[in-house]
Amino acid sequence: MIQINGLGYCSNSGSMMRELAAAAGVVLPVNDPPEDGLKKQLRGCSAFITAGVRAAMEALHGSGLAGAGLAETGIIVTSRLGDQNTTSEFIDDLIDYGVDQGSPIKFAHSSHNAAASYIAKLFNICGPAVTAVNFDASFANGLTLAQCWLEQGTCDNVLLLQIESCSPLSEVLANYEKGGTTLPADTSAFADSKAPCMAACLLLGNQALNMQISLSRSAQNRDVPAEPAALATPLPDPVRLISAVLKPHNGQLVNINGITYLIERHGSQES
Amino acid sequence: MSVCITGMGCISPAGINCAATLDGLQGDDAPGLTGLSETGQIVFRAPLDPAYDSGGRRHRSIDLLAQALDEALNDAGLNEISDTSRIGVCIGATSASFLNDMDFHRKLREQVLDEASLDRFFAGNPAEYVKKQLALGGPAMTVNNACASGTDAVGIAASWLNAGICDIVIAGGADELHSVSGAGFYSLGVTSQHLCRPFDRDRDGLNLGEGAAVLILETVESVARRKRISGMYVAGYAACGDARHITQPEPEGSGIERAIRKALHCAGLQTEDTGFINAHGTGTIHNDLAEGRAFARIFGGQCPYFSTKGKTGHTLGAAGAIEAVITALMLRRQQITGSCRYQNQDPEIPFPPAAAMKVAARYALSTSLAFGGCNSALILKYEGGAEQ
Repeated sequence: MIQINGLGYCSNSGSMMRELAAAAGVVLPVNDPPEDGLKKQLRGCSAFITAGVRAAMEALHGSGLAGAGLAETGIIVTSRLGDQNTTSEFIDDLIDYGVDQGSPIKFAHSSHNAAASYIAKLFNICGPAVTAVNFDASFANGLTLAQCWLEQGTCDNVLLLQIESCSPLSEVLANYEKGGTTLPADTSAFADSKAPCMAACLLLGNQALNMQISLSRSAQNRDVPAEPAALATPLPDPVRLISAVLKPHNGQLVNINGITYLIERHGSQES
Repeated sequence: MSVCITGMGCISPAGINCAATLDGLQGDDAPGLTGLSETGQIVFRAPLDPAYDSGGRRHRSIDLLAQALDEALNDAGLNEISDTSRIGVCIGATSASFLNDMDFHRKLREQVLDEASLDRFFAGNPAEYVKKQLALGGPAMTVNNACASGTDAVGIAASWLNAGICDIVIAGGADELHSVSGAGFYSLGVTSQHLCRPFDRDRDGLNLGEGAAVLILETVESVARRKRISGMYVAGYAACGDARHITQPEPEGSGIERAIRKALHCAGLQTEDTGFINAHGTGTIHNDLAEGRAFARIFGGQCPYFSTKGKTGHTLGAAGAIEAVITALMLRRQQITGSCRYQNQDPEIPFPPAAAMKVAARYALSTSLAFGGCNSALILKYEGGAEQ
């Protein structure tokens, strides 16, 4: 069994958890993580990295995990497309100024694993970190790996994230996957690493970290909704899972920092 | 952790297959297809078999991967797979996971959608390519851990097998020489205009390379069922983060030290059990210093180490897989190559790399360091005599 000890759902601008909870029929108490110094630490970072850091911070908030307790935590970042916008910005510089004029900062930040790197650095996490980019079963792959790590004792806790961009470029790619070939009216400034991104994060572990957890609640066998919550999201798989966790139980409000939900082992790789 | 390796395939600037790559590591001369990048830096091209050259219809990374895959499947006796339901694939990559076609972006700015480029992109995820080609039923994951991707792909594949998720996993890495990554490494100032000299006092940067390697990993039970014999194993793996800098390793090598110690623990080994180390050894100031210091603290100069990147170049997402294959081939031959073009000891690295020599090794270590402060260590085990 894997325990869920924290949840995060953010854009690069801030938490989206209350909107997600509302879509799942739950009102969450206001309990946002403090943002001391976050703006400074993320200065110059892409929206992709910022959304990932925010979601990780939200999932960790109130878990009891901090400092030395986080050192051996694992990080898994999944994505369908990765941070294509920062790559585009780097390429735009090469087109405009020549291949010998690339920005080292943009190049370093364009690596798909830059978000995991920032999460590790800002929360002092020295465990294994894997970033995986797959068109199919991206989040499910992450769940499978998290399960392996937890069951094999590779680490005691895992931050599992999915991060996606909502940029005009991402929309073009999504449209093309559906057979569409139309472009927006203006593509002259298409590369924008600050274009909105969304991230979902689950803090997974072998043990329940938060003693507010109701055992009866954690023993509930809940169905994962067939459709994502009524919320436009580029993260349908983790949102389905988070929505299932948040689903009202006996009319009680959910304490977002006190959730434990058991993911049962399955063979389908689908959450 | 004990996972069998029943097949290997490799293409690198040092050679067109496993045997040629091992032979091509000898000496200090440049590999056959050495050239210059658009920014004037030395790069090493891989001798892709024309039969696998798609002529640009696919990413070159996929062409390279397809060639290494066929060699590995042949080696493992898996040419005709009847039941693929419990076979997974885990491939490390960098370029193939990016929409980094400069022509695509140039045309997009001119309001033109380059559909051929998008088709290449959507068909070019390495793990998904293999899954579709072989109709595999297991998980397919493309690992994007920058230069540690290949090592991590092998480690993840081993964890799937140990968890009982798969019977066989096709693990490896693939990467091509690419103008965008070439420009990126040039912008960081870590590439060299000279042939690289890993661990040498006067090293001044890396040479980018390209290639692919595939290892067929299998459970003991699956090997027995298929009536195969395997003397090579993945004995241990671990990954640790520096939590420090987005591109540079921690200068003392504390992250790679922890990864090595954990991998040794995972394999149930003492430091003296390690026969040799195939180091990441890129030829950059920072990487070689961090690794050299970590090796000294762990092994105290008692374990020979070297880098093969003087012959393969730095193949980025493929490097860890190519070096895992080379490590296995050297274990089989019980012979290591020295660090290509090494001449003068760096006074800040406590012990020099090894010269070419025969070894009596049962276990060997392969290390990878990457952007993001990723450090990975893989331990292979060989049970058998020396091949000639």
